[in-house]
Amino acid sequence: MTQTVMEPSQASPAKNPSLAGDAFEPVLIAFVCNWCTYTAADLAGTSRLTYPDNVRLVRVMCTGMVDPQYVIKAFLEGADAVLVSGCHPGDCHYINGNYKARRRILLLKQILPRFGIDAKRLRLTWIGASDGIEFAQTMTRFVKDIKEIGPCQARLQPVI
Amino acid sequence: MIASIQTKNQSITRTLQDFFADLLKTGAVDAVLVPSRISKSPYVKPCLITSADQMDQTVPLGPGFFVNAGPMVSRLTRTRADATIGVWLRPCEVRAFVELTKLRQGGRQDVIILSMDCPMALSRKDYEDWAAQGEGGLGDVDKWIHTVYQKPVTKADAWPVARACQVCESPYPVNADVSVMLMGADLDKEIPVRADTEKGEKLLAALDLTDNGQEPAQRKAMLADLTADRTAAFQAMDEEMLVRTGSIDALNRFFSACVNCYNCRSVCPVCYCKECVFNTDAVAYAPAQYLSWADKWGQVPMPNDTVFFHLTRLAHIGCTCVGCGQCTLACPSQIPVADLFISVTRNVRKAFDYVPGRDDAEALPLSVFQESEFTDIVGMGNKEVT
Repeated sequence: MTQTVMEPSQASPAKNPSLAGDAFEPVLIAFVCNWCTYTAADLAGTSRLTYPDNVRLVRVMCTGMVDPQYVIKAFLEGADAVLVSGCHPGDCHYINGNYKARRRILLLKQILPRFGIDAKRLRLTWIGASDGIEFAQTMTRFVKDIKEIGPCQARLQPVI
Repeated sequence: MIASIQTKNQSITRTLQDFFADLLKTGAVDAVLVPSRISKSPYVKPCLITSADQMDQTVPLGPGFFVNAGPMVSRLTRTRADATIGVWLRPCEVRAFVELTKLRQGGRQDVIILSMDCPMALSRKDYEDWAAQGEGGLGDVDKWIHTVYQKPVTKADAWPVARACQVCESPYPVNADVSVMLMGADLDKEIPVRADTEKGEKLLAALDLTDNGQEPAQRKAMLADLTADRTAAFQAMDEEMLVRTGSIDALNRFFSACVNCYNCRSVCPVCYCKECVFNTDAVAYAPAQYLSWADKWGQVPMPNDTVFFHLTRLAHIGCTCVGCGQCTLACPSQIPVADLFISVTRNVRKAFDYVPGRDDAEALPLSVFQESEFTDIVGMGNKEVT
């Protein structure tokens, strides 16, 4: 790993090519449920669909297990956006985990913007196991949106 | 039923002490939980009292508020005690207890909740100064009472009340069995006491009190004025917090004095987890992880995860914060934690149309769901996926 010692105040887009203008490459963390969206990602792969490599998938058993603190930690560690994606309403493998996730995302969407983290950086989607195409499209679209918004503040400076 | 208790020796404190003693003597309750002085120091703590002659050190109404008794009532009702306990709680303590019962950390079966128009609280420093001015190591409690209930203060008078109190919009009993209506009452003469539940009726009946009182004529108007003042004070605080914590940089500065002591968590009446994740291995990082962070930024403050801790706590108690201000009181670094938490949570809970402590039957927002709700937050926005 290249060791770049950087004073926090110097952590500007100019000094970090991945954060500068058109070249900005966002980091997206996607918490995807094992039964639907992860399977859709698998299908996208086996179907040889492509989507930007800015997305880091974190497979969870259910969106209902995504504690708000996972999302908070992802943002504080420098993620530009977080996606939580699971089964469509009524399809949850654990009956109702996705409904619980929806309330938690709503909660986070009230809290995070207070601290300068745009609510658009946090998305919740339902992508079924057979929706490989939708998975690839969603990821492409999300990366495009975040490129327009620009890097998240916590990407540009450390959080205590 | 509204009863009138005659004031004795022109002292509200004395009258209430006798009232609690009578509750014990008549057997209406087996114990009372009332704030009491510890070894004649000015500091008060909720004390569980079973002997009627132990009342002289109690301070039922005063500006000292160093423990939110909500979790103490939770401890007393965790399992059935085969006894009836009268608990004397500030409105925010009632709210905290109600929230804890929703988490099944306590129940109302064995307690009778007596609450009052709130006497408000002072910050620790102000409280010590206030106490030092009085005789016997305690400030002039009766003077405090008369000031607070005759001319409601927000930040007026010599002693500015704690910020949490300045912005509290419900300084009156909600969800209690017995409400003591002090605001606007002629306290030299009487204290009007209202039974709000069947339990409360029985309690007052056991003391041979009859329906001979009435709500102080000015009370409703005074509380409305007070609430309006406080709504304005809240808005000012909210705006201040948006400026002071509106970005990651600002948030870093706001919490820069935090030493991760977690006192705010310890005293928080609604921080409900049996084991906090910040006490677990989940945040016990490998040394290489710290070095990696240091590599990334050139430095990493230690202890770290300060903002992570506070934001996690905000998410956990986002709907249930009762606004008691204990977190600020407990902070050794004088960070106005409550200002931030009250500002954020009072906005957050609007999304769920939830008010902590309002109704026992109202479920905690994150413990329930409906199939068709909040559908607008799902998806990638209005633009078509391309």
